[in-house]
Amino acid sequence: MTRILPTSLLIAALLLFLPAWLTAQEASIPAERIYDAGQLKPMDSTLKVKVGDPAPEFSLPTISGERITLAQFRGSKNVVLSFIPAAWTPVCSGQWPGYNIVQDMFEQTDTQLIGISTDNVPTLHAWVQEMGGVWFPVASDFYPHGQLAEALGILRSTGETERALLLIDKEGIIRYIDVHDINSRPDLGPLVKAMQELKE
Amino acid sequence: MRIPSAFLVLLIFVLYTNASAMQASDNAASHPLPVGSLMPDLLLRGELSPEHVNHLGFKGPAPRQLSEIKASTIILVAFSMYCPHCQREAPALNELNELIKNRGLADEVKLIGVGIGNSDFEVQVFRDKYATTFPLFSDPDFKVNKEIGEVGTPFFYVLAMNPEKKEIRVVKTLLGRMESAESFFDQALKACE
Repeated sequence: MTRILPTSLLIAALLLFLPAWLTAQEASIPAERIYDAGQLKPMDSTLKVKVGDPAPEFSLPTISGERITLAQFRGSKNVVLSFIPAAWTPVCSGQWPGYNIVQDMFEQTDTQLIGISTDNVPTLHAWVQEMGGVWFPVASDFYPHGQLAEALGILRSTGETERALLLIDKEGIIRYIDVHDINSRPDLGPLVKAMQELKE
Repeated sequence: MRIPSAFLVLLIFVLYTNASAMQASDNAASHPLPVGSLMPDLLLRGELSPEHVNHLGFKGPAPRQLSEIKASTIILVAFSMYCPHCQREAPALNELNELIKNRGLADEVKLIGVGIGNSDFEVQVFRDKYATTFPLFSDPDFKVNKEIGEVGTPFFYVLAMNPEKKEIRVVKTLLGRMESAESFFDQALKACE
């Protein structure tokens, strides 16, 4: 019995500490937690705004607990709204971790990035935590459901939003729109180019 | 009693270390080319510095075929700017490239990266962010990834070149991050023997 004890302790130690150590190492989402929705209709809404239009005002709750508004950036920062269709889906789970390494490009062009989906705040919180956190605010357009997305004309018939990027200047005018095929990730290049042009 | 317990410890350890070894953004549709099979002669696209054009032995800028690379061994790493595992692996990839140079093998062994689903711009972001020292190619439309088995990232292919037979053969593969650049390089060289 005394010989078994150290082995049992070792098992207990392994069981206790290895998962914690692994979690600490792992900052992107394990494949089994991602819901693969398969190939979807590329677009399922009709855009209601165009470049040159004033952007609709919004006030949305964020995962940090505060609300975020477009008005708070008026006169100080350009704003990029990155709409993703849903938390816990494949393309979306890659898109924001990519934006995570280009914070400097947003800062150099006086641009505030805001991530948005129609998921509720707790879901967005859990998902963003799972991806290891992001530097930009993540806002929920959950209730009234998809109000901002509907105002822009990017709310799909199933309640998710399109995969869309909008650049709004310091005066609140929309300067760039990319409503992308929901199944693929938009190239970062054209967005950054638009941000830089706005800065000049 | 002692043997089953020890076995259990071993089993738990193996399971966990395997899980930790596979730090990758995996792709459900993935079907990597098996060791021993032939690698298609990939068309490599992207923006290369003159030094890298020279280093790879290309006659001019990309696009170029994989078979045009002057080397006996190619280590091809499929990565993405958007993959956090690849972001974290970037310093180790530079370390691997250093190791190749330091062992005097820079003419025979060439390390290249292909940014899966990444545009030239996105590859340049990765290059700048991590001061990447080896040639990176882009794959904006996943054409390369379709040919190499729609792999998750990072994914390593160690390729043995046989220019006489016009063959490029897969000798080692790895999904996920290297345990260390040194141990991976040793295994890669061994696989080429």
